[in-house]
Formats: sequence, structure tokens, C-alpha cells
Amino acid sequence: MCDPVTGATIASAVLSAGGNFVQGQNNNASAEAQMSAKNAARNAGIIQQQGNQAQATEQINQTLNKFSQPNQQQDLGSLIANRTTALANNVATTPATGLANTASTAPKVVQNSLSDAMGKAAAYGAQQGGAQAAIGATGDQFLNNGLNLNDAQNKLGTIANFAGAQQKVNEAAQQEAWNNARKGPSTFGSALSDIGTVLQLGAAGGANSAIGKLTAPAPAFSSAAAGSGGTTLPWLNSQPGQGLY
Amino acid sequence: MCLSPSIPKDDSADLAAQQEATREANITQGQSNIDSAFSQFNDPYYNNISTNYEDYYNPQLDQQYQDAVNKLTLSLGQQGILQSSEADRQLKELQETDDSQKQAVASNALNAANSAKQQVAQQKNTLYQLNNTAADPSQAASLAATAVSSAVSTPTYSPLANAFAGLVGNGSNALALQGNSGISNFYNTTTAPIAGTTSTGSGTLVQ
Repeated sequence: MCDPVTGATIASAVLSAGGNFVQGQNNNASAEAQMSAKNAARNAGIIQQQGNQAQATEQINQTLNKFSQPNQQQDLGSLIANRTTALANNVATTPATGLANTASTAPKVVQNSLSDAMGKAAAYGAQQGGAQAAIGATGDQFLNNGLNLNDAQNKLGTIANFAGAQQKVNEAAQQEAWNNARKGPSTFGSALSDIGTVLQLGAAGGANSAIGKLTAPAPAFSSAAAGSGGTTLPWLNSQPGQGLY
Repeated sequence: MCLSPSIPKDDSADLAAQQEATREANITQGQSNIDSAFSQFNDPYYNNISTNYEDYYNPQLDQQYQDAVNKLTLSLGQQGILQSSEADRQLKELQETDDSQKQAVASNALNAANSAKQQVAQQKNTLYQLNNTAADPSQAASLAATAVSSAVSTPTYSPLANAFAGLVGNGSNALALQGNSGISNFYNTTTAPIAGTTSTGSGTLVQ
């Protein structure tokens, strides 16, 4: 059986230790919650960026698909056909020239010669028109490819713009999650520590009183003094002058 | 013992996320405004440019061709060889020249439309970049309206030079058109080059 001061001291130590333990546990839980919240925010950001990446990949694939050999050949063929038609249609707008009237009275051999010459002219024009259309269509294709690239660049630029800003927001979100997941000190742990502290102070006060009485003159331990209460503890009078045991 | 004070909530990232969402919505709306403003530059618009080009040069070429035929007929008649194989040959070359010039007109008409298409794309591209930076849809719409009004600079087309001068003027049958008159010349000096087609464009006569 220990004396009250010792008991209070032990109790305060136990309570303080318990309080510290609870606080430690609480701090660990807080750190764990913070890390978990930060990871969750980071993962959300990763998913968001994966979405951006998917959009960008789709855009690139669409653009690359336009540059595939079959598609390019098909486009070029279509462009050549369009140009050839446009050139031929414009040639066909040439008005009558009166050549027929001029040649109508000519000998048959001359008429045949003119007809043959005009046929050759038409054939030459068609050949030249086709060749010119093919050259021009190549330019059309370059232009269309450039416009497609420009369009893809604009779309990818927007995706990159959003992705960059979202990355910064996510960094802030991670910090916010970290901050908001922090737990305050445990009330129970604090209570234990506070009680322990109080008991410690009380024990220290009691011990000081006892020490003071040990070093005080003998009359301080008289029955009169003991009966007057105060800070003198009754059990200290059991063996006056012999100090604490 | 005392109760712990409540920890203040950090909502800075929430605010930043809201602002970013608003910004992205503004950019998207701005792009929509730009697209809407530029929707008028469609295939009919560019086809109309080609048509206008042909409408400008075809009548001139037709007139020159008719004049050349008349002059050649007169010249051949004066020489007494109007009904001859030589007349047929010269008429054939005249016809070939006319066909070639008509093809050049049609080709350059398409090139003119391509040039306009490229200018419009450049304007639109610039607006997209501005919109991404500003993220202000109302500003984007205003800029788009301004850009649309000046998207295509007014092309300057010179009147057609005499495409048949070399054929009929000196009575020879030489095709002297290359580099001295006609479509091949005016196209090179009046029409903006198309990207990627500068050296291979169909604006020059191939003879």
C-alpha cells in the first residue's frame, strides 16, 4: 500500500502516459487519413488526366486516319475528278466560232481535215486538262491536309489547355484534401493528459506540504495543529518526526 | 481540460475548380461562337468565288477568241488559203490555245477559292488561340464578327491580256503565249499563292 502522494504520482503518470498514447494513436490516424485523402484526390486527378489523354489520342488517331494511304489516295482521286470536271466544263463554254460556216463550202477533203484537226485539238485539250487537274489536285490535297492539321492542332491545344489547368487545380485539391483530413487532438486523450497533469500538480503540492512539515518545528505536529485541518494531512501525524515512510 | 477548437475547412481547391470549370465552359462557348460566325464560309461560299472568277475572265477570253478567229479568217482569206489544210492547222492551234486558256481560268478559279479558304482558316486559327487565352465568349464573338468581315482580303484581278496575240498578230502559228500574256501571266502576279502549291500549282499553263 502506497501513500496518497505516491498514488497520485503514479496515477498521474499512468493517465499522462495513457493520454499521450491516445494522442499518438490519434495523430497516426490523422496522418493516415490525410495521406488517404491526398491519394484519393491525386487519383481523381489521374483519372481526369487519363480522360484528357484519351481525348487527345482519339483526336490524333482521327487525324492520322485521314493521312492513311487509302484515304489519301481516295481524297486525291476525288480532287482530281473535281478539277478535271471543272476544267472540262469551262472549256465547253467556248462559243461557236463560225468556223463551220467558213468551212462549209470547202472541199470535202478540207472539211475532213478540219474535223480531224478539231478532234486532235479536243484530245490534246482533254489530255492537258487532265494533267493540269492532277497537278492542281495535289495542291488541293496539301491544302486540305494542312487545314485538317490546323483543326487538330486547335483541338489538341484546347485539350492541353484544359489539362494543364486541371493539373494545377488537382495539386490544390490534393493539398486541400490533406488539410481537411487532419484530425484535431483527441478529446479523450487530452482529458487523460489533463487529469494526469492535475494529479501530478496535486501530488507535487502534497509532497511539498509534507516536506515542509518535515522540516518545520515540532509544534507544527501537535494535536492542536492536526485538529485545525489546513494542509496538514492526518496520516502524517501518525509518526511525527520520523518523516515520510 | 479543454475542448479542442474546430479546424477551419480549406476550400481553396474547390474555388479553383469552380473557376476552372467556368473558364473551360467559357472557352468552349467561345469556340462555339467562332464556329458559328465562320459557318458562312462553306462550300457554296467558296464555289461562288470560283464562279465569280470564271465569270470575270471567261467573257474576256471568249471575246479575244472570237476576235482571233475573225482575224485569222481574214488573214487566211487574204492569202487565199482559207479553205486549206494550213487553215485547218492554224484553226486547230487557235482552238488548242483557247482550250488551254479556259482550263487555266477554271484552275485558277479553284485556286482563288483555295486561297480564300486558307485565309479564313488562318483567321479562325488566330481567334481560337485568342479565345483560349482570353476565355471570354463575348469577346470571342466580337472578335469573330470583326474577323469575319475581314477574313478574306479583296482579291485584285487584272483584266486578261491578249491570249491570242502571238497566234494571230503576226500571222505565224507559233504558240507564243508562254510567259508573255494570257492567264499564265496574270495569275502569277495577281493571285496569292496557295500553301503547299506554290511551286506545283495549276495556275501556270502547261504546254
